[in-house]
Amino acid sequence: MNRREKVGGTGLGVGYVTVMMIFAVICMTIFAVLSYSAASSDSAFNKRGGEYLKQYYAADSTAKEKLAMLDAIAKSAADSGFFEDFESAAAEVSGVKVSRVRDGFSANWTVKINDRQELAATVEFTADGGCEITNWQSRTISQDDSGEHLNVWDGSF
Amino acid sequence: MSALKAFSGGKRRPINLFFTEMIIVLLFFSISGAVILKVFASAELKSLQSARLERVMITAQSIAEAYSESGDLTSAAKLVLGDDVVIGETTLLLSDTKTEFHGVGTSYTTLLLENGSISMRAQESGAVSDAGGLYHLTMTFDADGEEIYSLSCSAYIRNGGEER
Repeated sequence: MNRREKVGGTGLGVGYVTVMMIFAVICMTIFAVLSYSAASSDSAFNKRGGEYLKQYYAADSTAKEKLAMLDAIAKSAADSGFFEDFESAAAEVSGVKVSRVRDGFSANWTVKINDRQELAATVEFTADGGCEITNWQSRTISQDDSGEHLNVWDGSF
Repeated sequence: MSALKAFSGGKRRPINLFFTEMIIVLLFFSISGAVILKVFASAELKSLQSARLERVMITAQSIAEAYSESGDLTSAAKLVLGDDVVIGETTLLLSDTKTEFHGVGTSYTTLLLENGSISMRAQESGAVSDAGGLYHLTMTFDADGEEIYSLSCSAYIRNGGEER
């Protein structure tokens, strides 16, 4: 039996409980903060994902509106018997580039999703009233670095 | 007097000090514990809300994808949520939407998800031309009377049922 037990008769010295309590509170605080931080970052991640979904489907809707307009123009041109008129009429739809392909015309356009991404669409319209989506995908907006390249090894010795 | 004795080196000094310390420690521990438990509870609530938002987002995206292919909310909802999905009352309002397209009206539908704890309000509108129909769907998810997520999407269906 040491001196402290002799004096106190309790087996616990003065200050021991305080030290244990401080240790327990610090541990609990750390766990609570970590738990809240994990939940918070998870929530923020989900919110960012939700925002991106909204942006993507907004761009998708805009692109589909253009598709509907182009298809109406193509249908009208095909019905009139002068499908060549499609090129000039479709070019008037904002942001649409029309080029001639083998059996008709190819129209392509992009819609911005956010600052970094855009939705690119390419649709081919044929004189028989056919319409085929050849490309409908999101891509990173290309940065015009005009001559600026990373100083990396080009593979030559 | 006894407290004075305790601090001034009486025989009961260590026991009194021990109990005084215990009281102070318990008081501090209970206050800290209450605050820490509140933080834990907030973290749990945030985690539950986040998981619910994730489920809702996945449901919304799945319905949006199915809707893009069919242009029909009921079939899209049944494809995603199963045939036993509870579809509430549908109201239809007729209106014109665009110049070159003829409006086919706006309909409002309510769907119940997760045993009724989440409700989905769907607003569907459309416009048709000779070539096809362009349909818009806006889904708003509510839980406990509060909006938790909303997503708008579109579908273009060519005449003749060709899916786009």
